[in-house]
Amino acid sequence: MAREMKEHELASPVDLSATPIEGEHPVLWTGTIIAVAALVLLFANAGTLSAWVDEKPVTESQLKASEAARGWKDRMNAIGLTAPRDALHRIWKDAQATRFGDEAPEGTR
Amino acid sequence: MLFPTLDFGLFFLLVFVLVWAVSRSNEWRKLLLLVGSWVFYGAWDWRFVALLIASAIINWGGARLIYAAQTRGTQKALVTVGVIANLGILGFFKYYDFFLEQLGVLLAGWGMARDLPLLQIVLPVGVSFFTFQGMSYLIDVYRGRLRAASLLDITLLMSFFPHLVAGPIVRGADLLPQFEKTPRLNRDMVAMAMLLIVWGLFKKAVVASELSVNLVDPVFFDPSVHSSLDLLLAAYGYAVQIYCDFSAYSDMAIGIAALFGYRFPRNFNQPYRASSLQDFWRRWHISLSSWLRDYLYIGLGGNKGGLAMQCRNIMLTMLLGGFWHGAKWTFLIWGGLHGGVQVIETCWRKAGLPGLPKLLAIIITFHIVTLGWIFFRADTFDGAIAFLGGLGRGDWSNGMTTPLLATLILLGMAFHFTPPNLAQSIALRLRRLPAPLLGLLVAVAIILVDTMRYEGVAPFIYYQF
Repeated sequence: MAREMKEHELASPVDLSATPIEGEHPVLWTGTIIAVAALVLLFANAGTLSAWVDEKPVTESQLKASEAARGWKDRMNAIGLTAPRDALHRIWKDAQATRFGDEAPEGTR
Repeated sequence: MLFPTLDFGLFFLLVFVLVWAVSRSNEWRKLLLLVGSWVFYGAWDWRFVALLIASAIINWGGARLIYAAQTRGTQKALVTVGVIANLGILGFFKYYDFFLEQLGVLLAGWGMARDLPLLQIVLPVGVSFFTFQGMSYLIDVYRGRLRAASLLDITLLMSFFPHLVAGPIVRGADLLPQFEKTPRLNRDMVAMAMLLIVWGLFKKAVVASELSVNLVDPVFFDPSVHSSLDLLLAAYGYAVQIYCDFSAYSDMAIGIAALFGYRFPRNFNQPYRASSLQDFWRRWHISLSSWLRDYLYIGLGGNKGGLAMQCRNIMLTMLLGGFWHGAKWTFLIWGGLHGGVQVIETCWRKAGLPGLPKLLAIIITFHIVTLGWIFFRADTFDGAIAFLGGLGRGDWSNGMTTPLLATLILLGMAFHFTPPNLAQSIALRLRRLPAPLLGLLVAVAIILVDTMRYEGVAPFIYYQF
């Protein structure tokens, strides 16, 4: 608090200390990253989509969307695309259940 | 609409596509961002969009009048009215009931108890942030640092959705010059943005949420039934939780803004490696601490007028900084603790006493900050005292902390002792990757976070301020 006021200088974490890469279309590059990420999530994380639809207020269109999302999730499960995510989730749940001793018994929280 | 949710993800995708589709017209893209920001804010409560617009109009009009005024006296009168108007909005929504309750207690103490008209006012999300933004804009125009901006620019400055509800407090001087030009993306910004967003997701959805739900919340809810060790680890846990929660929001806000081509200031810089409270405030919530320094501490006289005046100014600044967080005595005590220690540090330095060894100074600073967090987190003053009393009971049995929670506390502390430019080094590598590969990496990172995140997403701690 004890510093003199200075002209406000904007130091942003997104300014990297290197020469920017020029000559390519950065919006297209960004759009491709986002599109690929969204597609991979749609396939490999189908359960999250289904859970999200199920959380919405129940209406006729929500019921149809919920059915479609569940069908999508089942298809991805059948192909095995969601298996890595489910396996990792089980490892995490095991880590949550691990105890030093008798602290925080299951079901007390 | 919380950042780490699919609702926000879909909202962001839509706004991203629309904004870059009209990128040849800067005015259209700003209009789209403005409407998008109102939709984002309206998802909490549509009524407060009107408050946001009214606040922007007040600051736009005030700045125009200050800019056009012929004499310094008129300018001073106008900036005073503008600041009072902003404080009036903040005071009404945030402090009205608090002050009335204190008045009620006083009157009851004097034997004149009355039923006072408490309004149970709903606090608009982010009101503390956008009113501070408005005030700094007016003061900067008054001080001649900024020209009066257009209505569109000032409204977007205050409404821009990445920073709207929990900062960083992006000043007019930071963002208005950027609004005047059509922003350009580059790979550096995007690579860093992706890293910040994914990193923020991890800190919020995994570290902060797990610690909050399984350790901090249960222990702070009733400290009397927990051992001293549980209380100690919950205090450390909260130190890590609030850092991971708030810095996550800032990281994601900075990253999201960068994907629209705008640069936000840094808001955190490994705060728990600070070796003094003054150092801590150069690393924690930097946009607030620099705001308080530039518009309050300096306004009060700063370090002019001798040691006593400087100490008074530090104390007042920190007390008001504490009160900015909310209308509770615990926030005042938190601010008072930070101010008091900074006063001691200033006197220590002025007396020419030797500094402590760096590691010892870091450890002491961290524990003072953690002591402050107990008051910050406790619902009441009595709750904080009960918590501190429990720490002194000397019961060192572990009733709460699992290996996973202990690991997360250590991990949250370890973040502070990584090389300061680690993220930049990673981003410099990421920017050279082909887009499909980076997209795949982003998706894998999000899936990893999703496997570990606690079910449901709690609001960010700083939403309440």
